[in-house]
Amino acid sequence: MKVTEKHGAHAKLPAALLSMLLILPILTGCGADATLPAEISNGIAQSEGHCEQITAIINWQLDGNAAYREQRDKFKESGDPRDEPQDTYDEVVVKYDELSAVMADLSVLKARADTLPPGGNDAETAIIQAARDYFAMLDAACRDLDAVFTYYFAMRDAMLPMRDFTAAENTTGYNDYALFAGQLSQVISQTQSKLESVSCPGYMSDSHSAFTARIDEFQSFCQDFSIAVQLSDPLRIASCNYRMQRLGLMLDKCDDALTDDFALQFSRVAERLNGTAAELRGELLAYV
Amino acid sequence: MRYCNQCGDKIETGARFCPNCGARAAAEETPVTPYPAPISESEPQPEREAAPVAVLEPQEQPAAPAVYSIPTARKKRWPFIAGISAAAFVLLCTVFYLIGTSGENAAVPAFAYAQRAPSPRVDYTVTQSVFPSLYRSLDALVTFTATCEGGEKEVLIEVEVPGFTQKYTQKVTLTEQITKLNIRPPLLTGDLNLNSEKDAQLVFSVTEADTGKKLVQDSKAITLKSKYDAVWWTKEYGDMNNDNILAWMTPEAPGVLALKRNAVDYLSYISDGAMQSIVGYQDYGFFQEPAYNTWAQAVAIQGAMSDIDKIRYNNAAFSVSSEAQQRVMLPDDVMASKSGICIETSLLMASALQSAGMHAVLIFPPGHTQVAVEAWPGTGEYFLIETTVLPMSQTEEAFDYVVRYMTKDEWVGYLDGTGGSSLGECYVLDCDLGQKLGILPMSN
Repeated sequence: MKVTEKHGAHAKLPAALLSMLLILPILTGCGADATLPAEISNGIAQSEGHCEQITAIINWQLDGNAAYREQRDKFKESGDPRDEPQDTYDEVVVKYDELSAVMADLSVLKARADTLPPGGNDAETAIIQAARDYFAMLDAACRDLDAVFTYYFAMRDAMLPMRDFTAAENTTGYNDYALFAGQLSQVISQTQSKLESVSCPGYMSDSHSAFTARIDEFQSFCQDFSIAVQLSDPLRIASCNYRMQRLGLMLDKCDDALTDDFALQFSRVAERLNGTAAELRGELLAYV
Repeated sequence: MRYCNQCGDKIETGARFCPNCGARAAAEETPVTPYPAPISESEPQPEREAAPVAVLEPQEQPAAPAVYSIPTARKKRWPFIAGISAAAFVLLCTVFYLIGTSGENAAVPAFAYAQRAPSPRVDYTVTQSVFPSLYRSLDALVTFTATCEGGEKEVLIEVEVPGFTQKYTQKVTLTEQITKLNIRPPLLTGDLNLNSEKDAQLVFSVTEADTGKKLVQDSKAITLKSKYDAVWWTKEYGDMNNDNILAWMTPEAPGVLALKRNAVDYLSYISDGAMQSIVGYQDYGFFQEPAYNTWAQAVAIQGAMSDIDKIRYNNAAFSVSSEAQQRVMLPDDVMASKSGICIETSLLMASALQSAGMHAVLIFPPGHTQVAVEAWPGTGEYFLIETTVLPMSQTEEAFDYVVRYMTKDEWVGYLDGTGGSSLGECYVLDCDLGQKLGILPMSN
């Protein structure tokens, strides 16, 4: 029995060695070389959280658009000041700060991936390149969103003189319409000047041009209204009154078109994040 | 000479047992080489089976080590097998390593995104119905948006409404960035036969430039309204739809120019030859007040409509459908048909005045349309013209009724509906706004 046992032990040892011969090379020769470098594997895992944050911002924007438009239509119908949609600027600032923070985090992770040394073999090189591409995808997506936010802030800044002017007119009242027209013209000139320096994402150029054209119409209106007032021309004044309503309506339409363009970009970015980028992240995490 | 393994006593050569203690004597020593040793005692066959790596041993040395005694053989076979195994291990590792680093290995991960060809995505929306008269102010017949993930793709976009537009052709390179185009193909030239509403097909295609593959090949039914169809009110734009009637202002149309020519004859007739042309805001020197030059020309245009071109007011009800849609003839058609409702005769009058360089304004009391013409440029004084007086008597009383001067205060009351002669609150549309608002007549 003892001998037999000894014989058995002797038989198992070479068998184990043989197994190791088959397994170890797989682990050492292929598997170990094809793993995600530790420097970035955690980052890729973390980026899932970043993507969720971006998606939340996107959903906020898309839901907010729909709610704003619904509220504005309600206000138009009712005319009740209580139905007037609230300015969401402060919320936009918060969301932009969130996006900026995510961008900063992702930028660090991207830089880390970009500075990784080349892989020791083709498999490792492919994984590292895929990781770089992954972070480039996230970076591009964030930049596209950032461009929309930047455009929004620039437009808001450009339109601020007109917004403030309207508020002043409402609160102080203008009896002298000529003065009103002159001051409004100056304010629109400031707006036009600011708008000239606003650059928009390429795909929005038509909508942006239409918007600036409406502002130009406002300036033209001011000139015509100024003449109408100077002449005490009842027909020109009446025509200007209707024209003013028209301009407001058309500006709303342009505003809607721009907002639709925002939504278009946000939707597409969401698709990219949850499509190709998410798929690649899943593939990369399989190599951790 | 050998020595006993148990007691150490000498054992004679050839003796099998120790003479001192009786223990079995060890075999004759052959320390240099295992080969020549004679088989003195065969080991049990199972001992041979304990060497699984034997296959790796040279065939010229068939199982030689197995001839040794069991204890001796056990001590010496393990390191040998381990050595063989280690050698094989190293060999295989080397083989796998070489495979792994050979460059053309199958172990390189294939990520899905890298395997895909550039994949364009195209979305589009198509306008369901078109009002031809407003086509020039239409933002887009087709709104095209597209992206291309995973690379670039050049595509050819084609849009056409056969029988209505020319073919729009545009080559664009799609990328991950959004491409957005508002497409409005140019209208065909010549008579488009748009006198009545008809169904049409909008043909839209997007083709890959390199392969010719159709990404989109679509044909949508759209409604081409008649070129006379106007909509006065919509929920979206409210009364602002009134402005669209500026697209009916055609100061350069042949019929309008003909009317203006005939107005010269009428003017000459009523001024006994003193006024021989429609000159707009130029002083004939015939009247003390320059504004009467304008009055006379307006009367002459109305008189030509009445007595030379024999246009008659079509006293049909202001027929507006439930969609606030109405058929409004262009000035040329009014001249050709020799009849018109208030909006049509007003548009003819306003077009003729504009053709003469005068400032005309359309006045829309409830259910009616009239024209105002500025008495003299930059004065803010106006005559109100009632264009439905067709025929018009050739009397000064009739002239004064058709082309009536009102003071500014009277105008204020007239427009806001509080004046004595007012027909109700009026919408006022300056005919000079067409260019500024981008509401221009069809070019054909």
